[in-house]
Amino acid sequence: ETDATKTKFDAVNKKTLEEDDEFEDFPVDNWPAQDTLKEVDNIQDHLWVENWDDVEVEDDFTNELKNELEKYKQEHQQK
Amino acid sequence: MNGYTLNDFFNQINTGDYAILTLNLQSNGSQVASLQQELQNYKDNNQLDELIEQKVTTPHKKRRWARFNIMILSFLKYCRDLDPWSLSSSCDLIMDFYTNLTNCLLDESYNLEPLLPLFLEQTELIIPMGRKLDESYMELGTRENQFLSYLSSVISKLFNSIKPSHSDDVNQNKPMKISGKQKILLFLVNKLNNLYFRINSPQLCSNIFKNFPLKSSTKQFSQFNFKEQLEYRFLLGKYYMINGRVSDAWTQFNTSFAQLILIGQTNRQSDQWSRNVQRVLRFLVPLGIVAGKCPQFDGRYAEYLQRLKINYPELIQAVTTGNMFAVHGWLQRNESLLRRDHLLLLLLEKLPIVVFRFLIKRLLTNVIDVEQGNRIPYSLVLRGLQYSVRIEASDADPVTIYNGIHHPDTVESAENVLVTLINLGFLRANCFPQMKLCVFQKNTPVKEVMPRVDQRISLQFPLNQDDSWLSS
Amino acid sequence: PAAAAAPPLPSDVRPPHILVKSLDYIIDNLLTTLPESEGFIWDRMRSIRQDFTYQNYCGPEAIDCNERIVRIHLLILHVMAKSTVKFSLQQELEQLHKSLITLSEIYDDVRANGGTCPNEAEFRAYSLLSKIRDPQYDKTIQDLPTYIVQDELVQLAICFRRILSNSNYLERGYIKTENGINLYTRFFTLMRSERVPFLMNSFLQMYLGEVRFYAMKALSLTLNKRHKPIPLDYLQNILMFNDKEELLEFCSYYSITVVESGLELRSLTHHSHKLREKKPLKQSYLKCVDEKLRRKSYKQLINSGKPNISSIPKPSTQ
Repeated sequence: ETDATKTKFDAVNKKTLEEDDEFEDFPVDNWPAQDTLKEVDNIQDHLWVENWDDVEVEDDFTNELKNELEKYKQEHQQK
Repeated sequence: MNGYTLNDFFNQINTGDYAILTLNLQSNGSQVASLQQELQNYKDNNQLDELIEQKVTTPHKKRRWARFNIMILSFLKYCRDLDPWSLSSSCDLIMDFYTNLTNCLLDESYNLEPLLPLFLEQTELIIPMGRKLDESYMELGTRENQFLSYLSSVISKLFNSIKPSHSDDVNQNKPMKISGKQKILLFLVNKLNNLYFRINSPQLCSNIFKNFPLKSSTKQFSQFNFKEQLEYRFLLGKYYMINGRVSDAWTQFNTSFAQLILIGQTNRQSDQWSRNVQRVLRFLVPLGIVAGKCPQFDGRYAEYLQRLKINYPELIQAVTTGNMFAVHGWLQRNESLLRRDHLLLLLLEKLPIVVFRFLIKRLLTNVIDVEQGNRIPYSLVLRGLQYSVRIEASDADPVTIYNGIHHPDTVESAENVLVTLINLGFLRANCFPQMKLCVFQKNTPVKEVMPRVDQRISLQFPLNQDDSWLSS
Repeated sequence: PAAAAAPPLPSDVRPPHILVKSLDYIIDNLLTTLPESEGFIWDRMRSIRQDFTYQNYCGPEAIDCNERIVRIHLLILHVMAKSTVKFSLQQELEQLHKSLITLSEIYDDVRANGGTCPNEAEFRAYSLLSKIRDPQYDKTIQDLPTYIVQDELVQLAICFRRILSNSNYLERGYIKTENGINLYTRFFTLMRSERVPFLMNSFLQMYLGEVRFYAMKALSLTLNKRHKPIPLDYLQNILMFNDKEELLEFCSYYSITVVESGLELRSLTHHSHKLREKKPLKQSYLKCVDEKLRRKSYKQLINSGKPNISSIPKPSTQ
């Protein structure tokens, strides 16, 4: 089995152009002004959620966790 | 109309026109072909050497420039003995010429400026050749990465020849006139670091990153060519990432992304440009998550985020709900891609405490908001951890990186997680081992008992001060 | 040892098959004379490796000898930790580390030439444990083929590296990184697991001191000022000290105040496990690891690898 997995990994490892993580030169016709190039904050503000704690996400796991919590409370009620 | 002759060659060189001295056969192929014929009469190198001494009038009337003549000699030997159909049989000639060209630039007392464009062009040509040669190292019987390692040693010799400069009259607003080798300093830095990554020796980059600001005559990073600035940050980010330095890496990639977007706003978004955006996001997104940042997947940059090969919204769902079992599943599904980007073990190590932070916050929210309590028993934390990790493996099953690390089995193992959360500043509470309790301040909202992860991390892990000049 | 002894005359350098016999002799006859013979074995093993290096030989005999020498060093670490015989831990670790680097280089070359080494995963796992906080090893292991990365010994080594990650670790030259989980409780439970072979346990025992220090340090930082002393057996249990004396010795080394009812953990003011003004703490061991050692003879333990004949690639029949 080793040879199969070996070649599989090496196939994945051969990087295609866009997977290759070396920066490519790219054409730039007109340059933004020096100071605009320093205004990175507003772009970053739109890339990231302001506060991750505000992200609401309920699913089966969180619901079952609540039940688990209730079960725990009942077990420890009598103590 | 006979072909291009040696005399034509020498006349061009003597007038300072060095365009002919290129490895790019597309541009000088016919001249090289006709030179090759004429050079068959100069089989003996000494004879060729004498011809050069005689014919070449050095740019500096009074001083002989030995290295310049050696470079000319190696170029003519290249023309004479080149086999245009076989890169491998001409590789020594090519490497010799490039080495001698680079050596011309070592001694700054000569006028190097005219040679700089030639050197840049030859560097861009020879590195892909080195890569191609190294890819067939087995047939050539050479060591792995032999040619690229050689090229990195040639370029690093030139980099080291650039003396540290303490521009005492640092006049911040008037940009310093950048002369000589300073013009190609950042070009060399990027080429070297790229080579070190490619030959799997990224630790060699640390010296380059350390010496670059010392050698630079301008202390304002923004003076440099903008594309070179961008590539520098990208390489610095990768270097920090493979050393597990999350905040420093994230900062560099975050700035690279923003600057790429700024350029994209005033230019056609070429394929190369969008591939660079993807390259930055590939590292920026996972590093951000580890640093407590959640990407806006449906925000302004949704288009770029959705093009990522790895499904990060799935990871956000698992982390935000405190579901370690789902995180392990996600890591396993994306293992080979994450491994190739050297992200797998960084995420395996640094995600769990963030996952447990979200899990414990859910338990605490219930204790504080519902029960108005200010203590949480270890046994409840243990129950939550067991539910989150959900280990089915028994001691008889083989250990994997997904079932071997987290095994909440005793209240002490639950205390251990609370201890780490408190030490990292993610939880403001005290532990009471004897009473098996964790106590926090009364009547305090959850968001003060468990502050934001990203703010805690940036407080506890300030950025590397050596990089502050990058924002100058 | 003479650091830069002149290379010997060719006639003094033993050929590969003789070197294998010398190592066999050590394994068959000298291991049972440990711990007293540690210095002698250390010197003989080093000279065997040097002879391979002098003749620049990396064939199967070199791989086999380097592998077995690594295993002997790992055995010696445990045996010496248990004994009171004085020895240089630094020199043992130095030779162990050099042998692992030689092996990694040979494995890389064999792979580059299309061959494979049957025991490679075991020694890639030991390399991961040799510099357990050096991020470079995490990069190297991720570049290796899948069948190496997914080998259980490598998976175990990766687990221990994550378990020991700790953002409060403090040592000269070490740059701390984010979100270290410092799972000291898991370290000890995994050390007891039957899935961890003795030789790996022996190497991990090098980190017992620092795991215990940073566990106590981390715990101390969570206690409030009025905390009651922590009972001795609580700490002896979770940090698996062999007995109370060993725990008390540890506390006096780090100047932790011991009162009648237990430890004043907040009296631990040191921030680093390394104390400049003191000699390092005596290397310790775990009883459960010692029990694992009893199940095999030293010889079975050392000669446990597969033969390296298959490491020579078949001549490519172009």
